[in-house]
This record gives sequence, structure tokens and C-alpha cells, in this order.
Amino acid sequence: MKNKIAIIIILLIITISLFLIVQQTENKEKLYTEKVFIMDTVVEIKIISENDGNDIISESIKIIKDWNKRLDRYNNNSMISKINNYGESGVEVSSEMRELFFRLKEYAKLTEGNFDPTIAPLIDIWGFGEGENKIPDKNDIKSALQLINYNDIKIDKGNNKIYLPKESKIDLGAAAKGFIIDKVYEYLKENNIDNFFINAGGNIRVSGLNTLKNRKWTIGIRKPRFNNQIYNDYILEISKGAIATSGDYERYFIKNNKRYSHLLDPNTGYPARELQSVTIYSSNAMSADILSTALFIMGWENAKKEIKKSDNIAGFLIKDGEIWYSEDFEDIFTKN
Amino acid sequence: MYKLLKIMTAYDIMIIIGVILLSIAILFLPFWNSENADSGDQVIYISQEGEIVQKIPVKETINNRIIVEVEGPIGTSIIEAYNGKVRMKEAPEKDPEKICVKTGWINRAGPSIICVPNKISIWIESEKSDLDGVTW
Repeated sequence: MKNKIAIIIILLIITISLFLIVQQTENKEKLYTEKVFIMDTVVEIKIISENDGNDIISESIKIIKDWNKRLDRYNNNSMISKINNYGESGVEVSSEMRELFFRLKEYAKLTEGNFDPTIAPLIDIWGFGEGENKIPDKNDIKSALQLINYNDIKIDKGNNKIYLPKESKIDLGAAAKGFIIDKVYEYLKENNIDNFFINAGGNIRVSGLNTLKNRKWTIGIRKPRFNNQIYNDYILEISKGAIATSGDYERYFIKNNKRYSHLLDPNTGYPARELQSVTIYSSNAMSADILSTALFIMGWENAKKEIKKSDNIAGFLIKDGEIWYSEDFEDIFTKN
Repeated sequence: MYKLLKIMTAYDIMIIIGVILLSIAILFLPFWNSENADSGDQVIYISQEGEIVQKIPVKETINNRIIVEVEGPIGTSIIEAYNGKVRMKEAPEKDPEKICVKTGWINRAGPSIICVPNKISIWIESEKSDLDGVTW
């Protein structure tokens, strides 16, 4: 009898210890998430944390709002507005802002001006900023093109001043979201959050895993011309880096059965229309954001060439329903 | 082991098996729980200026047309949910492009309908969805 009791007690101890082990290894982690409407789009942040993540989320949203205020050229008090209005005599900026301008010029150079932060006058005459969309007069396009040249932006390293000629205007529509996502990324990393997902209107940067689902972060690619469909055969799965897409369905108008998208070619002054979408995978969100735009403008052959040439990016292009992707893009497809 | 079996009665074996089953059940309890939480129903979210103004469980839209009017800076937007789908039915007159109306129906988690001038966004959330997001 004593033996039996001993056996039962031993079994009970085993059970309880197993239970405790499971309790300990069980995820205390929780998902904290928030969606807000900023930068003309829905921004979503998901973080997985053992501690209360609500403050971290609020602070991340604040970072986005603050940077958006500084970079929004439609806000008269923004830093970009100051540069656009008073750049001729130089505008003093923070070192972070100077660093941003330095990188903007680098990307403009790298993309041979297919991304150009001084594109604002062209966006304005097409009405893709504020006001109504319209096909501008040829002469207006010509004069707008003359104002576009990233080399006109001068950065004075000595006194942190940015100079811009009188008529020139900066627009960061192709870079700001990416830049701001990277700022949130840095903040989350500094606060020891390792598993998170930031999505600003389809521009995405991730870190680590979706540990609650025991997998990497999964992302669909929107199918152009099919409202709200994604490519089910090309689901992406990543644990680091950033994804951004430029598509002619984001902002556009149709006149005489012709689609005019917001992806304006700084060389011709007209919307680039060879491709329907370009998706770029890169190490950071700003480069993915800028390069998806620049490669969209470059068109099918040149974009392919650039993607193949670069070790730092992978790409997925759509032209009239035809799909092309680089070899390294294959590495991030879900393997099911 | 043989000796041990010998001193045990059928009753003892039942207790042992019971305890083992119990421990297995306890082991899998957390997993069972989280899976259960995953299979929640889909919900349509409507937000204006970042605030959620309406949540509609998708199952409530089956054979039942739900119309929601949302006020924004440029007027009233009319949203229609029906049979698991949702769309922006009407945008205010002042909306120049009405891109949100052109977006059409959405019926699953992932895509969203966005009306920039009226600061409205609509999306469907589902715990079942295996996508964290969509790039577009």
C-alpha cells in the first residue's frame, strides 16, 4: 500500500513539475497593436512584448506624428515648408534633418534623378498634391521640369543649413513614410522590442518573428487592376528588412480612358506608365520606399537591370499582368 | 518493472493512466486555448481620423444590408456592408476623385478602403488570417 501511495505521489510530482515547466515556457508575450490615420494613410504598429507595450505604441505613434509634422510640405509650419519658402537664404535644421537631406541627395544620385526630392512643382501642376487632378499644359510641364534638380539642394555642413533656390520646392512623398518607419524601428530597437511589424500604407518594416504564431511576418502583394486582391502564390515571409510597393493604383485619375498616376517621371514630366507595380525588398524602409518609386519610373527593362545589378535589393515587377522577380526575391516567398 | 506491475491492482493502473492523461491535457491546454482564440470571427472596422467609429461583425451582414453614415471634414460618406463584404457606397460631392468608391468591395483581411479627403478607413480584421499585412 505504501508503495502505491509513493508511486502516485511521484506521478503527481511529475505532473506538477511538467505543468510548471509549461507555465514557464508558455508565452507570457502579448501582441500590442494600433492603427491610426497619419500621412494620408493607415499606419499600423504591432509589437510583441512580455511587458505592457501600450506606452511603447503610443510613443511610436507620437514619433510618426512629430516627424510627419516636420516633413509635410502642406503644413505651413513644417520644416520642409520653411525650406521651400525661405531656402534661398538658408534654413537652419537639426543634424537629423541634415542627415535626411544628405541621404535624399545620395538616393537621387544613385537613381540618376529618377527619384528627385525637388519634384514638387511637377506634382503641383498635375494636382496630385492639393486641388484637382488635371493634365497640365505642355509649357507648364516644361517650366516645372526646369525646376527639378536635386543638385540645387545645398547642404552647409558647417552651420547645418539647407539652401534651395527660390522657385524650387521639395516633396518627400516618395521618401517620408520610409524614413519615418525607420525612425520608429530605431526607437523600438532601443527599447528592447525585438519582434515587431510596422506598416504605413503598405510600406512595411519588420523585426524578428510573429512569435505568437510561431512564424516570420507574412505579407501579401497587391494585384494591380484587381481591387483588393493579392497574389496568393507569392506570399512573403520575412524576419528583417523592409518591403515597399509603388503602384499606379494608389493615386490616379482617368481622362479619355487613359490612366494618369501620381508616379511622375521627372525626365518627361508625365506619369510613368510602363509598369503597374514595383515591390522592393531592402534592408531599410527609406531605401525600399525611394527605390520602388525610382524603379517604377525607370520601367520594365531598366528596373530589371538595376535590381539584378544590386546586391542590396530584391524586386518584384508587374507589367500588364506579367510577373518578374529577382532570384533573391524567391528567398522570401513562403515555403509551403 | 514486472515486480512493480505485480504489486499494482487494476485500480492503481487506472489512477496512473488517469494522472498521465491529465498531465498530457494540462500540457496541451495553453495551445488549445490560443488556437481557440485564433478562430475568432471577422470584424469590419470603420475609422475616422484614427478613431474607430464602428465595428460590425461580418456574420451580422449575412443576408442583412448594413448602411453606416460617417461624417468627415468634407461631408458624409456612406458605407455599405452586405454578405461578408464592405464598400464605400457614396463619397461626399466634394471628394474630387472618389478613389474609395472606385476601390469597390473588400471581403477579407488585408486590403483597406481609404478615403483621404474624409479621413476614413475601412478594413476587415480576422484572427484567422495568416497575413500580417499587404504591400501596395
